[in-house]
Amino acid sequence: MRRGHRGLLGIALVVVFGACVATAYAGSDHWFANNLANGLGYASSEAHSITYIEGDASANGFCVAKDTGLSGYGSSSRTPAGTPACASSGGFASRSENGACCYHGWIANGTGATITVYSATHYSY
Amino acid sequence: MHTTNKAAMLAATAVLGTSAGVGLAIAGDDAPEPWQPQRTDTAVAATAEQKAAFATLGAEPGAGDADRTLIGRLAERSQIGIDADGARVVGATATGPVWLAPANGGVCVAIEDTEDGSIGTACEATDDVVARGTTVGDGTRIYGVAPDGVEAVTVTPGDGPPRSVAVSERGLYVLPSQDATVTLDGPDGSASFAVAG
Repeated sequence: MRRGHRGLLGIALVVVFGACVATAYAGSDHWFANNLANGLGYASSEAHSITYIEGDASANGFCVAKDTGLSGYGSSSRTPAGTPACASSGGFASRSENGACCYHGWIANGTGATITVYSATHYSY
Repeated sequence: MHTTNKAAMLAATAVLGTSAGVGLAIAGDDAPEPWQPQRTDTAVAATAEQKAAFATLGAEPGAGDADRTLIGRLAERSQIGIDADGARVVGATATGPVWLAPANGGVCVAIEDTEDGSIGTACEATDDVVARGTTVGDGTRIYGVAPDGVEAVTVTPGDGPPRSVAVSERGLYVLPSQDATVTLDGPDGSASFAVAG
């Protein structure tokens, strides 16, 4: 193989490797699906460069947002790091985020009753 | 739970979501289940029913509809058939335009934060949206879009008297983020629904 061809092969391998690494970093986290009591929110355990966050639930009155500094349960009235999207009259809310690093997924039940958060609830990164 | 295989994730989500819905239906919960969008990677254009209720969805794009970057990104990432090309601006907040967009079996209202590069949305079933419009909250306010012909909007908080709310030419109205009953009065009568703040 000529030297020039080896160089091209090397570049191609680097490009393929880079693509694989990028793919490995892209993923999704269904961080919560369960009953969520009124007055509570739940944050994902891991933080990522979130690009999309979605909440699907059994009643209106919940919000999704990206957040920092908390994993697991917290008060639904706490102010998350990102602007919330709230399903004020339906059962679906989502946000497309700018991908800045690094945030948890957050879903909060501000209603007066327990809601069921469905397994479609997730964020992408 | 992690996966790098989005197709597998979406398939699993669909199965799990369907199972959850069936389980809840069997449980016999009296409250009607809110609509959940069906996944698709294809944009779903506005239906005749949606265009009849919101003429803007059948109108040619205006100058304010020019930059579809963020609504397009939301459509791509949500995979619920949001038609970014068919979305129309119905007003604006301090951070950017408010969009009304057809989706797969429903209609979405989305609030853009142009400088931040983000956009939040809420979506509901076409039947509900045609009957009484739709809303989305941002934690501080609730943004509602009323169907064409609505002449008056009244909000009645759980702990206060009813009051009138201004409605824009394109049907946009703004409420404080609180639990309330919203009543829309139009030529065909009135329709009321609950919002949660």
